[in-house]
Amino acid sequence: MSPRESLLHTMPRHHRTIMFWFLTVFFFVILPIVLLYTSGYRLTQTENGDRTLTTIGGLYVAVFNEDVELYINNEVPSDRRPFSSAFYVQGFNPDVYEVRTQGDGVETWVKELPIYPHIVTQAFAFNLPRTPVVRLITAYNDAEGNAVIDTSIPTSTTPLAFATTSNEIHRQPTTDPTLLKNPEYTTLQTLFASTTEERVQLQVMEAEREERISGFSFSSENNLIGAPATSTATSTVTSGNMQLFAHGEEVFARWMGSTQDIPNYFCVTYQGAATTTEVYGEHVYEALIKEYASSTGEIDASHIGQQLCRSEIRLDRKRQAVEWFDFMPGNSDLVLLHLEDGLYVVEIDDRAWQNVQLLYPGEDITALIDAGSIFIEDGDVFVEVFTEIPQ
Amino acid sequence: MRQSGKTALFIGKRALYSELFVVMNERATPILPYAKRDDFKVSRASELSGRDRRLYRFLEILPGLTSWGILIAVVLAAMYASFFAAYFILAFAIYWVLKTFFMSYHIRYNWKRLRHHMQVDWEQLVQPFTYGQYYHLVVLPFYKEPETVLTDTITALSQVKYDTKKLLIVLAAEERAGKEAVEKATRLKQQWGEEFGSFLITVHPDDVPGEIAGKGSNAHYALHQARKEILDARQIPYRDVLTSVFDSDTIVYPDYFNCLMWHFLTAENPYKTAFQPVPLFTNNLWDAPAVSRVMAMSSTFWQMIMQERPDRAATFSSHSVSFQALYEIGYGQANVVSEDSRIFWNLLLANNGDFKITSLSYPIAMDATVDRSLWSTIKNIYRQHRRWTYGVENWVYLMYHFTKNKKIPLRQRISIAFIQGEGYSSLVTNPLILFCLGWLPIFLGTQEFHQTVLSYELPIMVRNMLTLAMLGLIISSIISLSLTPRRPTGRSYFRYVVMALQWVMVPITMIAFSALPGLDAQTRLMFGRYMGFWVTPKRVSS
Repeated sequence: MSPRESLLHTMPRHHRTIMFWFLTVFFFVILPIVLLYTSGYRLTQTENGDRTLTTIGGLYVAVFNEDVELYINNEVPSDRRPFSSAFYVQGFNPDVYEVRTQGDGVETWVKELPIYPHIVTQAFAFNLPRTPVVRLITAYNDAEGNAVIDTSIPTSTTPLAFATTSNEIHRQPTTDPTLLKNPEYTTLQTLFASTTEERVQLQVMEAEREERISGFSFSSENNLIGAPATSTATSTVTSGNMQLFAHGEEVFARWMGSTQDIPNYFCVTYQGAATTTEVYGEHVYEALIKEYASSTGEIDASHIGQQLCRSEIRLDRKRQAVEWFDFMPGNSDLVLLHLEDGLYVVEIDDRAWQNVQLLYPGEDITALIDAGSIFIEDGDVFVEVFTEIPQ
Repeated sequence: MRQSGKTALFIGKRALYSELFVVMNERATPILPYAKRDDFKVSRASELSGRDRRLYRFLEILPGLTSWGILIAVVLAAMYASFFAAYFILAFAIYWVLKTFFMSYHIRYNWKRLRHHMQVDWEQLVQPFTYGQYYHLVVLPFYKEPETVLTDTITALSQVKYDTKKLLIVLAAEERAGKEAVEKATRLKQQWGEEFGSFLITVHPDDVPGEIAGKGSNAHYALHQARKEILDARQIPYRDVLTSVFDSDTIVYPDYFNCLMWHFLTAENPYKTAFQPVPLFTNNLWDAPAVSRVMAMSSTFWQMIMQERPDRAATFSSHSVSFQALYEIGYGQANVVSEDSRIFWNLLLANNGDFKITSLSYPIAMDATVDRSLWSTIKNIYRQHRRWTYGVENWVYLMYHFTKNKKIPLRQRISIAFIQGEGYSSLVTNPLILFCLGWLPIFLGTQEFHQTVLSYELPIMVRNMLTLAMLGLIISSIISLSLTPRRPTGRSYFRYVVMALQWVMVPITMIAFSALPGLDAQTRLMFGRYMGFWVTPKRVSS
């Protein structure tokens, strides 16, 4: 039969059968390969040329600032998959890696993280502007709505000395009758006034509480850890299932939700005392001891390889007194800590160490959060502080 | 008196001969034994009683239950067995890619055949055969379609490369469409009546008990009338008649009847064969919105695939079969929605499995679904596909009768049951699993699952495979452009670009116009909310 004649008939049955069985066999050949690859198995070549099946892990880094680059052991991974606000890289042999995000004009975020077979290690990176970015809120605005600073105020004493502003600032006498009172300034005055009053009360209550506690002979630090600090409501801040509370001079973050949903940085893969300390830091190991140690004071060897979760994490306050704390607006993994020399952002994730970045310097400032924005009272001026460099 | 006596005797003799002819035809073409069963034309469980009714009702529930069960199982697996769900979805994605490749191969093969068949001189090919004795009974059921639609259809019939005197046209009107329909038919008869061997107008009575108003019952009535008023009256043997039941908007290509004739004459057993052309929904393609075009071409592609797998196919929409075969089963059913497919299953069962389809791989053209606004067009497409996917009622019918007709080889029964069942189930579940539920383990999975490489790689791998499968759309785009009618004057060339790019809508159309209406239809059947026939609006009157 000629080709043209064959076209008068349907596709030969054996044709279809061969195609069907070929594809079926192909399916069963390709299926395990795809399943293994997707689960984290890779075929690698050893030094002597042998092919071996190895397991890999991955790294997922969510970023606060999208204009940063990811470095792993000082190299930009070639096959990273950038999402709009995160990086995902896979193919790592199990080991500890230095993970860094950095960009122009922003602080560098660094962490050493372990990567395990078949597991994706997750982290959240933040990179605040090196030079604070603020919006000055003045008592008066000109007719165009621009902020006005009185000419008598020297530049060196205003935030303009060390910060960049996102709004236009004009210098002129504030006695000028054409100037308009800024209602936002008035609102902030009220807000800060009431905030100062609450914080004074809080400090008094905290001092009284400490006095009562110290009066008990059997009181100790350990007995108080885990005791619900929510008994003093104003010394705690809650965002979803995450709670910040003060105990003495320290500030802790505690997970209040179910263990199913606990953030990954509360949990570590226990690998014995020495390895866990080396990988995660001594502070993490000590926290695990407090929660999992047996009567011998050590964590039982049966926990090796298991995920052990802490219920609370202490925040790094840089050995300074904490005047105020709250969650970063819209983010329960980052905390605003008002320390003696400024307002800082510190991550709760304390694996290896906690990254602490200065948001706004100043020894005599007051900070508050209103409607998702961070405001600071610095002397006679108010500023709104931004966490990203404006484009 | 003597003259009137002779006339009366003549008339009487003629009537006697006609009566004799009918009797002879009936004896030569008796109703097949299986077709005489009381339940042969069952359409729903309520028409049965006792154990049969319970069995039929159970079968009506089964397709919907299966589809819903699969979808719910995928959701539950994503929540409680995330790893298993992930592996299943990966396997499913691979299966989908390979299936797409397999189907694409069939489409390309049939496309080659289609183009070849459109160039073949069928008139010459059929010349060596003796076929002058054959007639073509063309039944055109219509409801309230615009007269222009019917005019175009009949014009195309008058222009075929075939002796039009061998075409017996039956314009089947519906009483419920009002006298306007009859007037329409009458005008057409006046215009075209002499062109054909016969031009009969039938008026299907309204509200006949036990019938579902629609194309099937109308055609059923028309065939009855055609037999009496044309075939018996002119003493045309049923064996010499090929019946083509066409949609009212069907435009036949010039060589259709030659092509049909050749396939009939070369068939192994032409009286146990149905002949299926390739439906192209291209009459009004340039007027249809993109979503309508995509659905129209997708339906064509599916039929092109079935053309190369006739052993797995059933008749669809416009098709042809010998009148004898139809008569042997009492013409088919007037009480089902999917009458176009049901007729094939009637024939298969009545012939104890000895009935098949021959694909003509030759086109007929019909209208794509279009209405006055985009939203009403979308609604109409949904309804049309819901009606088509209500063809699952045929699987119920088949399964029921497979328990009764043991003369059909067991292997054949199992094969058909599985192929048809898998087809209706996968139509509903596959698009939803692939494009929606495939992401569920990521959203609903356990915390333990979320930390694994598997959970991160799953969406990437599935996306890559779907992208691979979508490469087949490039082929679809090329084939659809080749099947698109020539650009009318006044239409921009840019429309070609749009027509090529419109295939990116396939993931949406697969869900909105295949999976969801299919699930809708199966659910209705499951709950006993039986559907009636919905007439697809043909071409909006200006």
